[in-house]
Amino acid sequence: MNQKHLDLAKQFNAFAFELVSKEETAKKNLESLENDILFRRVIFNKYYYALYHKYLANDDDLSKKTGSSKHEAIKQKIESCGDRKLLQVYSKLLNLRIWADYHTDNNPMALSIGLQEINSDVWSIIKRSSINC
Amino acid sequence: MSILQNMEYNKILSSLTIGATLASPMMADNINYELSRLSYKAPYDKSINYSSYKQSTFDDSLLKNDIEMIKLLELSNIINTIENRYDTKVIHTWIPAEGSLDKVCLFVSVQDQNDIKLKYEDFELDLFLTLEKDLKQSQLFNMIALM
Repeated sequence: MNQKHLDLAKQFNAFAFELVSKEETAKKNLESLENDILFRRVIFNKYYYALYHKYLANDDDLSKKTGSSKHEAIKQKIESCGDRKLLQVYSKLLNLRIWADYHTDNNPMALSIGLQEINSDVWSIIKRSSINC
Repeated sequence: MSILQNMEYNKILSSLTIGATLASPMMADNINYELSRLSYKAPYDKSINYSSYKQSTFDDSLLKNDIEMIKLLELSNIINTIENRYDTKVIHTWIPAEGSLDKVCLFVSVQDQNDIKLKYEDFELDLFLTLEKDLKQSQLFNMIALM
């Protein structure tokens, strides 16, 4: 278990959760987060990376590799291990993160994504003692 | 146009018509618009010479490469499956990473979503398991999730 990845996973998850649970306060205090779509982009990104680092904490070989191919490699490993819930949550956040970081359209559908559900799904994975993939 | 080509063309049109009929009003409008657009794009019993193609239109024809057509077909099938399985209507769809990944996650929201959620331990996972076979065969989608 790679403790540095695990710590980062917990920190990203805690950061996203704090934003979700204190949305009103965060928007009031941080002018840049008043934009609802931007607020979502930040949250999707952080939840995704919480999962990303949680996975890497359990995979020494992959964590030593460099480059962007790790995202797809993680997805393939999760696909092959048969953990369908993990696959669903990871794929869902991978897609949302790509939109959040790279797509310029401010699609209002982003506002329909259930943040509490994502939080609960990600937390259920972060608190696992290990990921068996 | 050969009989086989005709049969496959009719099959596609039937699927689309059924899909568009059963889809939610918003989706049906979108699909009808897209179909109308595509009908201008591919007047293929007049201008396309099939003599160099194999018998099946799925093998080499322009249809195979027409992502929009495939997307409409696959969306119709997925929507029909969801609406029949859960006795509901799909009211919104979103493909946030469209164009950025080989296969993408389709996000949907359905009528009375919160009520349906109460009936299942994990409605979103149930949705995935229901569509798992379709998603494995899909050319565009590899995951389904709730909005």
